[in-house]
Amino acid sequence: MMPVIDTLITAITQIAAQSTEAERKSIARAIDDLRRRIDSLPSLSEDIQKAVDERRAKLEQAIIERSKKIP
Amino acid sequence: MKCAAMTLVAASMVAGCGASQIRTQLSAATVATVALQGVHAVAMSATSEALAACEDEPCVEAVEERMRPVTLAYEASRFALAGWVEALNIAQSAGDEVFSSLLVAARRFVELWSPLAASLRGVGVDLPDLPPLVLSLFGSEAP
Repeated sequence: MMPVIDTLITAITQIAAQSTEAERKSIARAIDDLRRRIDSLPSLSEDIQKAVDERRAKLEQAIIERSKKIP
Repeated sequence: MKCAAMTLVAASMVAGCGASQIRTQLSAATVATVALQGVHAVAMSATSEALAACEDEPCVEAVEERMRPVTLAYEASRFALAGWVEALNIAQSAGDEVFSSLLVAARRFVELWSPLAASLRGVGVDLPDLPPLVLSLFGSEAP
């Protein structure tokens, strides 16, 4: 009887270990995916700076254009 | 022998519970990431609209100044979110004993949401509350 129980416990232990390992790997993959997603979140300061610089360039260009038209 | 078997079952249940808690936090952090992406979109939209109405340099400077608190709040939230996910990574490697550190990291992100919303209100943008999945992590003690 005892060897049967031992075998059963060993089998349960192996199944539990495999299941835990599979779950751990699955979570690790999900964390990696989320980490990549967060890393690719755009920087608001850089994007606002870019928009501001573009607007400034347009305004300066408009001033240059206007000054060219003055005889 | 019965005791050994029960210990084994109990141990596997505890491990499952820890994994389940990490899964819940992972879902909440994913929702928070999507929410923060939305913040970037509305902030950029508000900036573009305000800049388009500018016809001189003082106006551009005023827009830049108005958006500064929003930018700082957003970047702080972004770093807090990255810290939360790093804590999740540690928790899944180390086990249940570091679970409380996850809640600390998550709470830091949630606490930054109000200043972020306030800074956006300052430029005329209403930010919705954080989704219930994120707030539910703290039960009745939501920040």
